[in-house]
Amino acid sequence: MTGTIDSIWRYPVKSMRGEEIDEVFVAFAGLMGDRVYAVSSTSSPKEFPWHTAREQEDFVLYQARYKNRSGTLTPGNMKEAMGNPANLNPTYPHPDAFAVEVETPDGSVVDIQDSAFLEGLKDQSEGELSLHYTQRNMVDCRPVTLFSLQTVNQLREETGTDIQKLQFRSNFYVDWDDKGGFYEDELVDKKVKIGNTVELMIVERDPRCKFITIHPETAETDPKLLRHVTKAHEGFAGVYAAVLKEGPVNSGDAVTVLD
Amino acid sequence: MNFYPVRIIDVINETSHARSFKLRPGDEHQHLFDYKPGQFLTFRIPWHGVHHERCYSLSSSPSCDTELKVTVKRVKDGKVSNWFNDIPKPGDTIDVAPPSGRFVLRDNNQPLNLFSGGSGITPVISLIKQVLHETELSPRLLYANSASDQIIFKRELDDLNAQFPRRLYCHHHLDEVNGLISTDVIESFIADYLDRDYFVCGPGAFMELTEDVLIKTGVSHKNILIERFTSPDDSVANREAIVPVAAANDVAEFRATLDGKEHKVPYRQGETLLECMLANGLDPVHSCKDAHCGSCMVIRKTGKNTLRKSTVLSKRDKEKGYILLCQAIPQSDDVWVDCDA
Repeated sequence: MTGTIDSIWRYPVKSMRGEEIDEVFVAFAGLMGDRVYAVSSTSSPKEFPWHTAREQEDFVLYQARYKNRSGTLTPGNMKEAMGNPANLNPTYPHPDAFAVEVETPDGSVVDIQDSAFLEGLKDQSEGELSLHYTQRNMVDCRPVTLFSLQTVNQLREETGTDIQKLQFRSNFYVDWDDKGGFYEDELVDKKVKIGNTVELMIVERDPRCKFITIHPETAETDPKLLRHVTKAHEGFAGVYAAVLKEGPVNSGDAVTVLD
Repeated sequence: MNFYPVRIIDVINETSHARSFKLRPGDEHQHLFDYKPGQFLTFRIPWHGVHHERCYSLSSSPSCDTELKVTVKRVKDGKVSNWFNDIPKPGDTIDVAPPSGRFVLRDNNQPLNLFSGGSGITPVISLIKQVLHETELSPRLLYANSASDQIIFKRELDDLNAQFPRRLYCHHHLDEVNGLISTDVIESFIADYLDRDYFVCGPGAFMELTEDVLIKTGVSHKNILIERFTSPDDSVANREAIVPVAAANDVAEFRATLDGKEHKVPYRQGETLLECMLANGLDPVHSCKDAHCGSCMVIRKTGKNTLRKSTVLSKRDKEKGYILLCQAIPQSDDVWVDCDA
């Protein structure tokens, strides 16, 4: 064993506060229920049309949650499909199962499909906002992100600041056995197995932007962390992964490097 | 970004300082060059052994023009703009990336008021042609130029006026006759037409003044579309024509605090603060150089600057005084940035 899944996080609405979950189905497109909603703005660049905490820092204080959380963690026929010799692709729940409500920083709760949701954001963007939905994950670049607790600790020591792991908005936070910070960088181009089934290919280091400077609890920003990551770690922290074998992952699962 | 070979079909001398180029992609790439009026093309041009990328707005419209057309105004000391005005000829092939840009008509059938200055007319005339050919709307254009012989597309505008009687209102403002454009001129043009979409493209000072007057007059931000003459990923009309304009011409140096030390950095016309710092042996933290990552966010303590792009900066960042070194052009001689704050 090389490490353990410390925690699993998904973000029902891209850029909003995420939720920690104990188990999840990891599909080729990423974690089930991860970034299935997103808000776009006509004032954002064409190549990255999303309205995010980069434009509105307190977006990270909006708590998105599924109304039927248990129904969005694993497909109903996961065991049957994966038990088939053909290793069939499990069937996702009906789109309605992914209904989301959002608790805004002032404590009010609104259904994300309610026009009041976008109406409440309109003053935060110079462009026109739209809501996007897909069952298959609106991630920035790659389906899955992985970050280690050792990397968080190293960055805390290097910067002398109380960095929060959630600033890096990873899906999997890993606790390595006998490994130091940024060990995950060494796994690029290697396969990693999580639990009994899921296999990931670590494809590249994760290039970081202003987002990591936003404190997840206060939405205050401190550019020093990004400057440090850029200077000391070439702008990278954590890694991106592609999914080679789908399946369930549970908190506490073993993480094994395959080659 | 992928570039494709595109053949120059025709070269048109628009004024003594501007040429238009009609372009035709190869048949196999034709579908990649479908465009919306107001968008731009990115060109990769060889210049003294180095490739330079520049963006130029399309002045053609798919509603009435069979060929793609861009217009390039010559700029003093501009590398690529002068190359365009001196070198290419019909039959030549150049590398071009497909159309891009968001300075386009919105799907709301809203009446239009358009402001353009100098070569800022290029995307604007594209929009005008589309509106005249495809809608019943009657666009209003305020078009500012230094002198009558520098009016790009004068004949084409006159022809449109003749072709669509009483549909196109075009007010020409000439600096040599009327002086530099002023708040009064812009207010007079806006008049009571508040509930319209406003398109603005021209030199930096022209756009800033126009936007300022529009906002103060009561036009909503959401109804103002501005084409800034900036970098390839922004919507651009003619970057080289604009960057050296305005107060930056008077800036000889700026101050930068870096790693606890204060430096006086010579300013090189048309370059960003980051480019000047790097050229002077300073190495502030930076990464993408494209306004995307935010690594070069620093506090501007004094002075004024414009940003070619500000993608990653939030409204709150700007209120706090953050700028991006990789995009900042000084607009006063007292710019002081703190790279440590």
